[in-house]
Amino acid sequence: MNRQTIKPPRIAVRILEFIIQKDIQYGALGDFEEQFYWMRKEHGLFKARLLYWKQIAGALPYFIQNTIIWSLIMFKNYLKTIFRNTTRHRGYSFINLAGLAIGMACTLLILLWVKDELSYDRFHENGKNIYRIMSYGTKYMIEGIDGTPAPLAPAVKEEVPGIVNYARFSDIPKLVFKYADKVFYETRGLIADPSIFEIFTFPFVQGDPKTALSEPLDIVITETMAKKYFGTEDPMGKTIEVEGNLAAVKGVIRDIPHNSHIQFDFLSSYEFIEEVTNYGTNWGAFNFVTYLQLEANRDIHEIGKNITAVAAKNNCPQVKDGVEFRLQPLSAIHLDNRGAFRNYAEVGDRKYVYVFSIIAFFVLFIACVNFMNLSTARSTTRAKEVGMRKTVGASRKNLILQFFGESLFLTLTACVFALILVIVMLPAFNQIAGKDLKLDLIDIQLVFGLIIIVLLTALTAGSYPAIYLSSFKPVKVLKGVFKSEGKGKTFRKVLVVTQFSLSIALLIGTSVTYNQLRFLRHSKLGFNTENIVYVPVKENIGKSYDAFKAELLSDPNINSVAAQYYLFADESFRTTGYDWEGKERGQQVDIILNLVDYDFIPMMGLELVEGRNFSKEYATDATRAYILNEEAIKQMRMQNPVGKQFSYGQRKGTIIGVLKNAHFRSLHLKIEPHVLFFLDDVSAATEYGVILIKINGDKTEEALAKIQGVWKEFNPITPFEYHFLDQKYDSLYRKEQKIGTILNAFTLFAVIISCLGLFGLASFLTEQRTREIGIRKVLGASESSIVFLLSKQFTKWVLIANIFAWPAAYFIMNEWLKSFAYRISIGIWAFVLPGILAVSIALVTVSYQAIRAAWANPADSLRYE
Amino acid sequence: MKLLSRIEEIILLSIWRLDDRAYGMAIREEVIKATGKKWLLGAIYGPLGRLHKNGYVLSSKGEPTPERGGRSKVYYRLSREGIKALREINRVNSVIWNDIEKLEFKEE
Amino acid sequence: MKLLSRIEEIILLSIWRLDDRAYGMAIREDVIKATGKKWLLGAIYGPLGRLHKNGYVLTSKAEPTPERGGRSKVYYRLSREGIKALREIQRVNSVIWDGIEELKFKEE
Repeated sequence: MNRQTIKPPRIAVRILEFIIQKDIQYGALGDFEEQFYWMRKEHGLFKARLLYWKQIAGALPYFIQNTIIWSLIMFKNYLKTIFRNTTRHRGYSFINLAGLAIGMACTLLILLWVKDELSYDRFHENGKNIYRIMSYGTKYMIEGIDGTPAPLAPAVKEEVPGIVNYARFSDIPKLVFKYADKVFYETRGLIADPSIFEIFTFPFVQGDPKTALSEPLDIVITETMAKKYFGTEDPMGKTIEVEGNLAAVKGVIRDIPHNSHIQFDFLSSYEFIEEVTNYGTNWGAFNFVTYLQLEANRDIHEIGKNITAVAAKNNCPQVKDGVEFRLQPLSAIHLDNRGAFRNYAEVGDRKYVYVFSIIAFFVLFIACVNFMNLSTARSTTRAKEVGMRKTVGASRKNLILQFFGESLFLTLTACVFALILVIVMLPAFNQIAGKDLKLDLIDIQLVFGLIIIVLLTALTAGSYPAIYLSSFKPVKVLKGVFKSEGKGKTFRKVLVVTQFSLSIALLIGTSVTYNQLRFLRHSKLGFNTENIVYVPVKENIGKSYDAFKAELLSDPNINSVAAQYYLFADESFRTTGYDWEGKERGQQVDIILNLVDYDFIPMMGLELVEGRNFSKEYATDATRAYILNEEAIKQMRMQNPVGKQFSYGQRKGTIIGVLKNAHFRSLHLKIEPHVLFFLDDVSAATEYGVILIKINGDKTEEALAKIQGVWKEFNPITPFEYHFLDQKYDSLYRKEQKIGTILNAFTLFAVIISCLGLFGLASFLTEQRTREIGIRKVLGASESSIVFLLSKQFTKWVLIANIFAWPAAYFIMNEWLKSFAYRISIGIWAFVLPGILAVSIALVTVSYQAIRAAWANPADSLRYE
Repeated sequence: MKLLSRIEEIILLSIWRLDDRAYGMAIREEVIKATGKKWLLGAIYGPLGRLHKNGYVLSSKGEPTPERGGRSKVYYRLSREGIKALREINRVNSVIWNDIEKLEFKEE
Repeated sequence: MKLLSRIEEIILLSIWRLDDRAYGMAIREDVIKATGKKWLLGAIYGPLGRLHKNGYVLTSKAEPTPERGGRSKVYYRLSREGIKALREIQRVNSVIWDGIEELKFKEE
């Protein structure tokens, strides 16, 4: 065998080439090969190969040690350089940092919010198999409501396969609870089947879920409520007086976490329902919310159809009209913006989750864009640095690495500040958003998400400057011939225009939201709400209404007093069970009913377009008079309604008047048909009833004091409580107000960040034109003309940004406004004002650079040559 | 200037001793002779490379031979810095070993 | 047995020289005197710890002294293994420096 053709193992050679230092490699490999041949001659090929491989083991420790040491040194150098660079360009670094920190803080807050919104109801063990029955029909049921008839659930469990369990809920009107000397109103109570504890996971602290709601008048309370009434006493078995009834505490459960769509302070047994409400429990009264626990992997469409079939079989009147039932999974309930028919839960909206997520990324994107711009802002200065480094041997890769390092360093620092910002802002944010968000740094998901955000931000934001700055040719730079290339300029322009488009769009959004809310607040509802106070009908007020009213009216600061069965703003009782003269076969009209006394219509300032108000002159008014609104008449297709027959169930009567349409309920909704009966016996209105009291607006305090005094006379036990009617109507739009506030805040941030970006960019471009400006000055241009020249450029961009922003904002706001039955039309000023505002802000931002450049000494700027 | 490590010292002295025969394998022989341990050739080249990078040794090529896959032998010799470093070690050695007559274990 | 590294050799010899005054700070002083370099105390304790772990030095505590915040000084002394290791170094040194009279730079 020819000696030359047997060579040392090629792979080993390669490895050694990698491990052994370059400058001695030649000699080393030669030695290795010589040794290889010698070994082969002495001890054969196998041993020779073995020995060759062993050389790797010999060289490896040194290699590893050297690499580690070298890496540490390089790392330390990079850190030093990065730190030095960052502090050298202190002003810009700070602006960069601020912008990035604000952007990250916003993103983080939004992401925390989104995470929370998506986390609702996850804690129920059977969660995957829990469904809510939704009823779909026509008119107000067309989008589906969560009301179902009481007998539906038990019937369905019997006859439809696949149903493991059911639980029905109903809300409870405001009740007065009394234990010893503790008397409070309780509003957050629910009536539930005892099976609620089997289906849902509400852990008991005391008591047995199996027996807790077994008797009528049993109640289960939360820990907080227990502490409120019993302090440190043991609540179990004690009785609380609830408006005359004695409820027994049979269980204490943990407070309901905020991310549960079902919220309550106490639960009472289904049997309690007769005691406390007048809710119908027949097949025609959709007063309950029904949850079902199904077996796994069931076809919910099938089951929905079966449920409908069962209802039909039992002659449910609504089903005969075409109403059908469908199942909604538990996980979809919180984000369902249709809202609970019965108001026991805070309602979310999936749309807002999407929108805010997008906004979060936009804000972060804007901040990254800034970063890019600011990093390249003073590129003339940095270009010299780059040129010098390249001259002494830095490769482009080295420089790219260094710039990435800088951006990572800044991003990490920004992240730390962002976290601090979030911690500071979280309490305020929680209050506005009505949440209980926490920055839980132990949460792996959160930390992981943070790391990804930081890396992504550093990478995207750092990539452009890294590649751009490192590409400078040293020769050109050091000769002073350096100019930014055209390609970079366009990209930069696009970036700033995008930023401003987004900010302007947000500004438009804010202005439209503000206008819509103002519209809602000041809309003519069609009746008075100012200076009207209302108190609940409790204890003796109903019984002694006449005396109570007389007592109040004796005070000069009280103008009028009226009674109402329930506040339109709070509830709506509706049914189709009416009959009237001229009713067509099969015609059904859903009319909301209420009961009021003589003084209601005048106090509210409601207008009667036909007929008259209830009057003492007509004795029959008390039991046979009806007043309907225009919408009711329209839907009933009745002509000349006054005097015609009208009946509710067995209660026959005539129509005595027609009310002009008014917005009794939220402006989200179209005006619906209403019918008013006379409230003969105020004491029958103890669940929801209110006494409305119109007071002298100039003497509010005195009037309230009087009312309180009279209340205490009549109600020794029940605590005094009052509200203002106009505030009540305002609160209907609380969700929108919240959204508005949040939107304002984020718009402010976006604008700040965009200005930061513009500032950086302005300084960059102004710097680029330093020579030009110097020359112009030498040739006689005035400072103001130069400022004008520079500002013109940027103003143009902001104007362009408007062109992009206006259509986008218009489209989005239009969609949002559609959720209101009564809305403003988006006027031209909603666009023009933000546009003007944006341009002004841009000018102010740019002017600092422009003025500085204009006043610079031409001698300095022309010193390049 | 950091002190030479032991193996670097040994290698430099071997190079000095070998005069103009100091190439990789020969250096290794010397080191083995001096320390009594069978150093792997690859393990010699680690410190040798560092010495070369720090400028303590200089290299020159010899004649190419077929046994080396056509490569020449690379001969190493001490540079001025290398000699200075050795002198320093020599000085330190004489200081620390000064009047250490008989190294003996002392009971407590 | 692996050869002592240079700093280990220097430390052991310092401990020998310092007799019963060989605690951390004193060892460091001695090393600085011998090598002419300002070694950090940490750079002494690293190798010293290794020497102790490998059983080349033994430790004993003395009385707590006020100026050290009430902690006792730890004194080091050579173990049998330490002496053996030094002897080996002594041997190697004599071999590699044998017959090296004048170190002089040779032009090529």
